[in-house]
Amino acid sequence: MGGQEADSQALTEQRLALEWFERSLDQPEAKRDAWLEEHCGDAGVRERVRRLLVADSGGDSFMESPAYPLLETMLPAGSRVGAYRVDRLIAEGGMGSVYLAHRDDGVYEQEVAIKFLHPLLRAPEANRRFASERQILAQLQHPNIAQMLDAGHTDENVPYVVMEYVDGVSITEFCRRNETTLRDRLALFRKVCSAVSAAHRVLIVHRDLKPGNILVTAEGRPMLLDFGIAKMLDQGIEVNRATTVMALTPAYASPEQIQRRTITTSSDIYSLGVLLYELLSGRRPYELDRLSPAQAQSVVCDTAPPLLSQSVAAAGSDLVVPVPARQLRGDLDVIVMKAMHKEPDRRYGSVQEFSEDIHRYLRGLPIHARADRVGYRVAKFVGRNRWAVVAALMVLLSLVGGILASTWQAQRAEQAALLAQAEQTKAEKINAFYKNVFMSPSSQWLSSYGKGADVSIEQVLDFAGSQVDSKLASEPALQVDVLDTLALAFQGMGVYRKSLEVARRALETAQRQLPATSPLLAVAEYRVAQGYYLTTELEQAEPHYLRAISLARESMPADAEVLALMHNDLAVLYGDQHRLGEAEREQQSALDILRRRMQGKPFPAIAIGIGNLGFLRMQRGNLKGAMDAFDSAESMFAQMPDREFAEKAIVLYNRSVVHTVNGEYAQADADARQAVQIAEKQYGRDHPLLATILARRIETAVDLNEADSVAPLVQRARGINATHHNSDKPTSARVELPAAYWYLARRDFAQASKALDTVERLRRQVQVPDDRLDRVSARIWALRGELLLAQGKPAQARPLLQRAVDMERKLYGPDVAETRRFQALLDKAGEANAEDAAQGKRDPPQDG
Amino acid sequence: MTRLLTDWQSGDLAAGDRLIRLIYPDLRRLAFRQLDGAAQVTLQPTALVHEVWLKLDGADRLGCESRAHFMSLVARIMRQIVIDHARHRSAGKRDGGVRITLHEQLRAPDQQDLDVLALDQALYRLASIDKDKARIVEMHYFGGMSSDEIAAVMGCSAITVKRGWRTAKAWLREQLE
Repeated sequence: MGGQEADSQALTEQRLALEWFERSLDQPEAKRDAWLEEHCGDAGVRERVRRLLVADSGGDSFMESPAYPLLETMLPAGSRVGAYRVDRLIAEGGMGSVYLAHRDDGVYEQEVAIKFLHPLLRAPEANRRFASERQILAQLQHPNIAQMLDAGHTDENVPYVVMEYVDGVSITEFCRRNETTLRDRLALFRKVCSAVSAAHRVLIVHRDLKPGNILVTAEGRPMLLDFGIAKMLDQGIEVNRATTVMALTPAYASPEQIQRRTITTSSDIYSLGVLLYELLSGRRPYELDRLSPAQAQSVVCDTAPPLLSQSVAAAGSDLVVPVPARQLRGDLDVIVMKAMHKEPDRRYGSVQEFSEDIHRYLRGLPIHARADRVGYRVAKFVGRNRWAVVAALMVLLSLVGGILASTWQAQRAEQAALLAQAEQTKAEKINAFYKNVFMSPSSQWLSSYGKGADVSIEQVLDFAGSQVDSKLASEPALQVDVLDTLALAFQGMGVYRKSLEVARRALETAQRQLPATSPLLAVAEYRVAQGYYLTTELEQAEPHYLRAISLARESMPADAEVLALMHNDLAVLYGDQHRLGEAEREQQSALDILRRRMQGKPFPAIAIGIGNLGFLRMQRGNLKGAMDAFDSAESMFAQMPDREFAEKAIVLYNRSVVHTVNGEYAQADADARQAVQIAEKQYGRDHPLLATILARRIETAVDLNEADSVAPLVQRARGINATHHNSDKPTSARVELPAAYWYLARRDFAQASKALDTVERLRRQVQVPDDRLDRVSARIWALRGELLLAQGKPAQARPLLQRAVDMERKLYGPDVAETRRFQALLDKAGEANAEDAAQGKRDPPQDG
Repeated sequence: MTRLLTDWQSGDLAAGDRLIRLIYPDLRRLAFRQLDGAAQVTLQPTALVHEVWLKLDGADRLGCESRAHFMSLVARIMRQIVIDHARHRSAGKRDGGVRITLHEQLRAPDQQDLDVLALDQALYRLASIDKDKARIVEMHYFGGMSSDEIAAVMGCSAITVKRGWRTAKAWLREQLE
């Protein structure tokens, strides 16, 4: 008999045994043996059935409870883990289990909590990250943070973390038990803020702030647990974005956490906002308990929670309300809502600011949180189109300054309208305006455009604009505010003419009806200035900027962000007019205001402003100052690692230019490469700015004698320009100039000459005067001269090279590498010419 | 995913594999997300399945039977997770014998820990003798499914499931002890 047959026979026997076993179960237990003997003829099968019956009669709990894979082997009291001895299990949860333990190596007595990571959460590659993370956490020391003492792996490779043991109750429970007063609650909360802020300073985000992680000891000292643990754990879990399954919705998680977008310190601010809401109202902003995760997600991400004061007022008498609603109305409402804003950028800039506003409230000072931008309400109304509006706003505004002086107008859009004080009534009136205009049954809107018709955002805004005078006749301030928002929205959509038109209406109304001390008047001037700038009426823009700044100085705090924005914009305008000294001065004013405001903290607008300052210095030939500025802009970007800023590409681009001028070609190339990488990611692979940045890389590659490898770069850059029908626009010169340089390096004189012709033709469109100190002019002459020299026409090359050298000397001085490079070309042309003259030759006649 | 689920129900095995690949990371993630302040969260597969199921696009149109099928799929994943974990733990040991503690709260004090790797092997053998019984074990023991739910998947009565479970259990016990 072959093995296979034997196997198959055994299988058959087993199968039969199972059948007979089941049938015998129908018999009374005592009679089963006899019944089998009688009915089942196969002794082998009978023997198997008997063994099954024995096993079946065991009757204890064999396999009775399902094998949930999640529970860790219980550690008996007295087990040793590292330097600690386990006392008892404190808690067991989805994340793993927590044991109370004490130090047991005779060094000192200390109670600790040891957390074991859940088996399900242990990814093989997580261990390495775990190790690096814990080093960072070990450095986090604060009187209100439970210190991480140790971490490691058991013999079975189970990761654990040892934390300072905190004996306390959750912060919400503490306040409830002690019936803590409003002031004490706020003071307690501020201590929590100071702990979170300390962590943020070393760039540790908690990610999981909730009452269960904030215990208060019997002495009333709040202690934060599990700092950074969530991140350590999260890294062990692979994210599968391909599925439609979303994570569960913890009540304190921010919208970006729920949607698995980038988590930053701002996510903690949101969670703190939810916590404050609960501390003050006794309930959470959203009731999520009975919802499916998908429903919960849409609630957290898409709906506004009731105001704190409304939540308390609605609670009625059945709930013990910790703080009366009237005490919460107004400032506290605004503070909590700002912290809980759905968009991270619109929350407090830091936990410290958040805490500071509470402090101001406690001292009876006006708070910094301002009413939510009115435009938000427009956007909200616009509904499904809102992201289009916001996106358009962001993209277009960020492009205004172009490559040469990037601005931070996206932020401006956020802040310009933040001027008005946070008056709930005002926001309500504006809301009512939009409701009235668009939603009421008698609304002309409905009859004009029909229900559900596909209307453009522009139409919506137009209509809103047409209603302002009649619907808000008695409210000039609101009129101005609404018009300003509309102007901003048109600006964002790139409809600059219309934006200017509406801005001018706002300004007329403001001049006629508002006092000169109203900040709205300054903003209205500012918006008109922007309108003229964007419609390229630069001369018209300047006086409005100047008036806006002088009005703002009178009507706003000296460190108002909008004031900084005005200076910045004016700097951009002066830059465009090549009034570089004035531009640098304005840029510096903008930076001073922001630095004062941010008190040394890194801030995108500051980094970008410094970059712009560097650019202006570079334009004026101050290479050293420019390099310093670019370096410090770069290091500020590096201090904000949570986000990559597109503007960094521009800073690197400009720094690359300075390196080239200094003859530091390798560094120039490194910067250019990095700039390309960032631009590809942040602007996209067919963005016009990318073409310009690629052009820089072409130049650095040629400088490094890598001319042969750049053909694809030239193609890409030209391709992008062609896609945008930009090939005939002046910006294309930025690509054609390095292309000419490249052709020359390959000694393809015909193509080089053609590219240079294009550059010169495009430059004529922008009418750069020959006497303007401008490196690009010098480069063009030098390149033309170099080409003529290579073609054996030194006599024609000389005057051009001479002009290039003169220009560079004036700009940078005689000792800069690029000046010397042009000088060397000039010398060579001189020698060749002298040689030719000695041989009685002249330049061959030029073609055509 | 709903599409994959229907394909799998109608016999497309590859669809089942793809589903597992899609769901597995989310189960892990869900397990992690369970921690929400409340201590003592027991991560029962049924609870996890519930969460995942609710989030399936169009799950509400699929009805109870599909849901049970889906649970059976999760049971298979759970089995895999248990086994992976046991293997991982055994990798560091010399004798190769692995004992994994089962559900702590329900465990009788005198009960021996079960060697899940041996159980896994035995289940493969059982499948070659009686495929349905092996599936019942997988769904009930690893997936925490009730007899009714298993019956819905297998298209038989709950009585048959109960009897099958008893038989399979006796067989496994006989094999393992």
